[in-house]
Amino acid sequence: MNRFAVAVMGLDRPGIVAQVTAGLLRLGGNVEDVSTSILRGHFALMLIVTVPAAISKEGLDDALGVLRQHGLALAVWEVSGGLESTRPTHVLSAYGPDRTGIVHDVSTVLAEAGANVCDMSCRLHEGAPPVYVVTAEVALPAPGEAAELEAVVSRLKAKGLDVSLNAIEESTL
Amino acid sequence: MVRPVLRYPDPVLKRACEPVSLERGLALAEDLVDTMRAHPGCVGLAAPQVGEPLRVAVVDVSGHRLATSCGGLVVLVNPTLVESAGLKIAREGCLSLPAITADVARAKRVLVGAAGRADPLWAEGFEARAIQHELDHLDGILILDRVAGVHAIFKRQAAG
Repeated sequence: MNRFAVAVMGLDRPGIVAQVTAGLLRLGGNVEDVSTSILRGHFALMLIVTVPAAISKEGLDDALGVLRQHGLALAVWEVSGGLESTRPTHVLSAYGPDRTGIVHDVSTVLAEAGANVCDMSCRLHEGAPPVYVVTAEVALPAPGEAAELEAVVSRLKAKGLDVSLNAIEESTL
Repeated sequence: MVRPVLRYPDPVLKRACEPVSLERGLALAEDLVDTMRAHPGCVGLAAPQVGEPLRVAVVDVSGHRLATSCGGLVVLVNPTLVESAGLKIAREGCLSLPAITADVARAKRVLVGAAGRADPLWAEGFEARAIQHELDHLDGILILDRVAGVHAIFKRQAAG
């Protein structure tokens, strides 16, 4: 069994996921993890799949290659390790009047704090005035330390952003 | 008097508001009620939204299909959250962020005290949510500060 990452992106329309999974199913591939998003009208699809050991990266790429003829970008690569996803500890919300560099400011502050981005959405809300909003689920290296939270928040505020960083609370029911 | 409603990033919306005398608070509440009523579907408004950094807000969920408690017109001068219980996530909009709605977790039931009220007010469900949204405004907290996760912010279907 070989494990691959597959990334597909193109103008959004019905049927993209079905087309990708049809190609995978013909090879006996198993879909382990899927994430999709629509970015400004472009559909992005990322998968982790396992295929029988006889199927190489080239074989998988060939089987899915028809997607390119339908105007989709396709990338296939082999993956190993890293099967467990990092669990987020906090939800970050950082927002402000739209300008260039907000995503870089937020991600740089997080990287310098050693915080791992588990999920992120950055979007311009075109009201009057337009507001740019970054939300991220992050794993802080020492989530229990108030000083660490304060440092991240104050460094983002210094970039002119309004910021909230709230702990993710889990209950076992 | 109907007043213009400020929108983010007006700085008045992001600061903690000051306590106010009951007399001044009630006078300001009249403008808040007029302004709230001038916006169809609006069930609450806080003083900073009309540019006054004072601890005054109004809520009225009368006739709203989601309301399960209704104190009629609720005027909150220097309000305090006495108690809260339960938690529910639901979508909220805000006149000060007209292009956005967000899924926000709020207490299901609240007990709120306010100047000029002999007894605290019990509210639940949608009315409790509206009250908590307005109380947040008095501390400079917007729905963007309360999002429940990365995929909890949405474009408003129709500008409100």
